[in-house]
Order: sequence, then structure tokens, then C-alpha cells
Amino acid sequence: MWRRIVMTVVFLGFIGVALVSHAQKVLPDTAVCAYTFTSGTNNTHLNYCVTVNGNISQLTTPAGHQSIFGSEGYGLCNESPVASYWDWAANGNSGNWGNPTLVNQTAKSVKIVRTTADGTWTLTQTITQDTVTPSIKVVMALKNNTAAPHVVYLVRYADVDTDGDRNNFSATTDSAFGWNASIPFGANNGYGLELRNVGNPQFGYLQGFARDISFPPNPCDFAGDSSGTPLTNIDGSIVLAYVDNVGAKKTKTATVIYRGM
Amino acid sequence: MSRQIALIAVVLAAAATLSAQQQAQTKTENRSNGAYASSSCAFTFSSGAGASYLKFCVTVNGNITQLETPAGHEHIAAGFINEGYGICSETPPTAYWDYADDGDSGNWGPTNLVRQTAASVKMARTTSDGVWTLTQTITQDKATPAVKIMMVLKNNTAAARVAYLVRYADVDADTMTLNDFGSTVNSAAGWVNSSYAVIGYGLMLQNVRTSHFGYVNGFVQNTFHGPNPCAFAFNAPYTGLLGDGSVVLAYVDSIGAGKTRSATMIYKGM
Repeated sequence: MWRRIVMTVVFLGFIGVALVSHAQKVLPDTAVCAYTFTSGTNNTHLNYCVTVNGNISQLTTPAGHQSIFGSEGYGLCNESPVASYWDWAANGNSGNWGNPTLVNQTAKSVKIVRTTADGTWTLTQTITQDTVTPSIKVVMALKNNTAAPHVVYLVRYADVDTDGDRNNFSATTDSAFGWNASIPFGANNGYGLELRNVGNPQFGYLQGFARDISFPPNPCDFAGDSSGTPLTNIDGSIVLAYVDNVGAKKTKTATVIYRGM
Repeated sequence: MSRQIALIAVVLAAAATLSAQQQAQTKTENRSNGAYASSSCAFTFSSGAGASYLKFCVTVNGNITQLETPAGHEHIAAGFINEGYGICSETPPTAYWDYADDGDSGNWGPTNLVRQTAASVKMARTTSDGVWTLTQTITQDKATPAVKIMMVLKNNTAAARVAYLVRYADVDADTMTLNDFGSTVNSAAGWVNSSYAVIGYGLMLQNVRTSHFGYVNGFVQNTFHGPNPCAFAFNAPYTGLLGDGSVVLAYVDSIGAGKTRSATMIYKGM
């Protein structure tokens, strides 16, 4: 509990400084599908694609109900000296990433490595199709390449637009989700998408956030624009944030899933 | 699609007819325990640790009356422990339910334990009029982690019948009575909304697989009491809910003479 409080205070203290760094040049980005995965039918149908940079830029589950339309991705905040790195596909990138490298590709997964342009961090993503649940598992392994420990914030974000722009949003400590409410009497079209931590995270701080805007967060201010109460009928977005100290040359891993609801 | 619309129309018509007379019964009969209603744990399962921890128990009648996930966060066993299943036989209208502490309808036979393993329990129960047999297989899913429930409903009569099959839980996320609630076609959930200063967890009841029933829907209820299975949407608000509510998954379809239909759902943390 004490550790959580300290981390919260530290991250709030850095918000002001970090906001300045957010105004970096945004280079051309891509939301183009490079790897596409499909399984199941009807209620078990899952179709999604991954960009060359490791964004999940399209996601449909169950059949006929799409939740992601191009804006999804990952971000890092190096707490000191403050620096943020992000790639949100259609919503831009921070312009301080190196090129991605495809490490491995199978019928059910793709593994992509990308290092920040300053060489400080390497993010290795393994994105795997789970045909049983069905869901998408994203393992993010973050390595500190420097000779000194660094506190880092690791963020996963999605602009959820299930069956349209306006949805309900909420979050728990382990998850964040956007959905359309089912209607007791009448035509029904209530579906949604959940972003959820799975397993025991190696990061000491973990929290889900429901956001009142569709645009992505500054990774150094990941709680910005979040709500302490459920949001209804808005064009919002969801975030899972991890925070911890990563030792010199060490790696910490976070695993999340996207799953229909 | 036309089949689903027809089923919805049937459900709405039946609900309108039945709700007035049977909703009143719900408030009294659900809490007037029959001979068998119980919230006592008979079969307990646990797996994992920390964030992947799951512990739950099942009563002799197939109610899940304790569910903790992740470690330290209980979502059902708080105050009155209400979880279970219900059936409505549409014509003639007859309701059968067992919601643990919230009582049963008094028209069930005893439960037969079919099989028990380290990770599952299977039990069968027939209504006292002999019309329906509900076979439940409740399985520990260590990987997700989740509790998987397969409910197989058999029509024992010589005529086809429309049945409503209901699963219900009085969710008290993190043992708190006031929770946020929401539902989709496939799920219904109760949770404590988190922020950077608030820790929050919850429980989701979710249909999985492609259902054998033509109609599936999740509902939030603005009461912690179990629904009348013949009016399962009666207490559902048109928006989300912050309150001491509950969650329902409802399945509707015609079941042929001597035939079965199955529904599979999970409880998982959120």
C-alpha cells in the first residue's frame, strides 16, 4: 500500500513536467494491417489485425461487432529525465522510436521488437490469438538498456468504438472497458470490449482507467482525462497503466488481453 | 434473425402477462425457502495466487455461494448469499428457481451428484412435476481464471415447450453492497469503479460459445433479490446502475419433446 501511495505521488508530481514533453513532433504513423488473425463463428468469432509497429488497429468480436477502428497502442514514460514515447496507430506517434523488427510470426502470433531512438528502452511485444476464449493476449516485455535503474510507466490504450462512437466506459484495478448497454425490452445491440491485466504483473502499480475523450493519453499523465465514476454515452477510451522501477539491463513484463463483453 | 425477433416478441408478450402476477410472488416466494435451498459450501475449488487466484464453492444444489478473485476480493459471499438458477415453463406458466439464501420455489426434487473431480462437479435436478431436468457441470478454469458453468436443460415431456433459463448472482464486489452495474447482450457485471486513488474489482457473468438458445441477453437488476424466471427483465433499468443490484443472464427458446438445450457461461473477475 505504501509503495502504491509513493508511486502515485511521484507520478502526479511529474505530470506538469511531462505535459511539456508531450508536445513533440508527430511523425507519419501507420494503422495499416500487417498481420491478420481470424477464428470462430458467430458469438465466438474473433477477427483482428496487428500493424508492423505492434498496434491492434482493428478488432471485431463477436461477428459483426467491431470495437477498434485504427486507434490503439502503447506508450512509455521515462520518469527521470522525463521523456515519453508512444505509438497510437491512427492517433499518431511520438517520433522517437526506432524501426520495429519482426522477431517471429506463426499462424496464431506475432512477435515485434522496437527500441526507442535514444536507446533507453526496448519493448518486445508478443501478440497471440486465443481461439478458445476468444481473446487477444498481448505480452509486453520492457527492457531498460541503460546502466542505471529507471522508473517507467507502461501504458496500453484503445479508442473503443463498439458498434459506433458513443459507448459507456468504466474501469477496475485490473481492467478497463467500453460497452453499449443491453436494453431490457426491444431490439438489442449491446456489446463491448474489455482490456484486462492477466496473471501477476511484475510491475508494482497497476490500474485501469476509463477516459472521457477518445484521444490517447500522455504516457507521463496516464490518469489524465480519466473518470472516477462510470461514463455513459460518450466517445471515450480505455487505458491500463503499469508503473515500477526497472533495474539496469533488466526487464519487466506485463500481460493484457482484449476480450469481448 | 427473424427467429430471434420472434422469440423476443414471445418473451415480451409473456413477460407483460406474467410480470404483474408473478413479480409480487417474487418478493415473497423467493425468500420463503423451500425444503432444499442452501448456501452452504459442499464443493470448494481454489487455484493460483495473487492476481490469478480463484476460490469458489458450490452447494449441493449447484449454487455458487462463494467466489474470491483475485486474492482477498470476495464478490458473492457477503451478507445474504444469493446465487443460482431459474426456469420458466412458458405454457402453462410455471416458475422454478433456487437462489440459495434468497430461497427456492419449492417445486424441485432433490439434487443428484453425477460426478465429482478435482476441477469440476456435475449434478442433475428434476422439477417435482417431472417436466424439466437441469444438469449442471461447474468447472474450475485455472488459466483464465474463471468458473465455467454448463447448464443442460431437458424437456422430459412429450410436447415441445418454450423455456426461459436464468442464471443470477447478487454481486457484492469486494463485499461492498453498493456497486456499479452494467450489461451487454452477452454479459452482466457488477464492480467497484477504480481511479488512480481507488482500488476496485468486480465480477462478470458472461455467456460463452454460441448459445443453443435463440435468445440470450444480460441484465442488471435494481434489486439484490433473484428474478422471477418468468419475468426476468422486470427489474432491469434502462441505464447502468449504482446500487445494491444483481446480474442476470437469460436464455429463451423452444425445446422439443424429450430434447435438450445447453447454455454455457462463466464467472470471471474484472
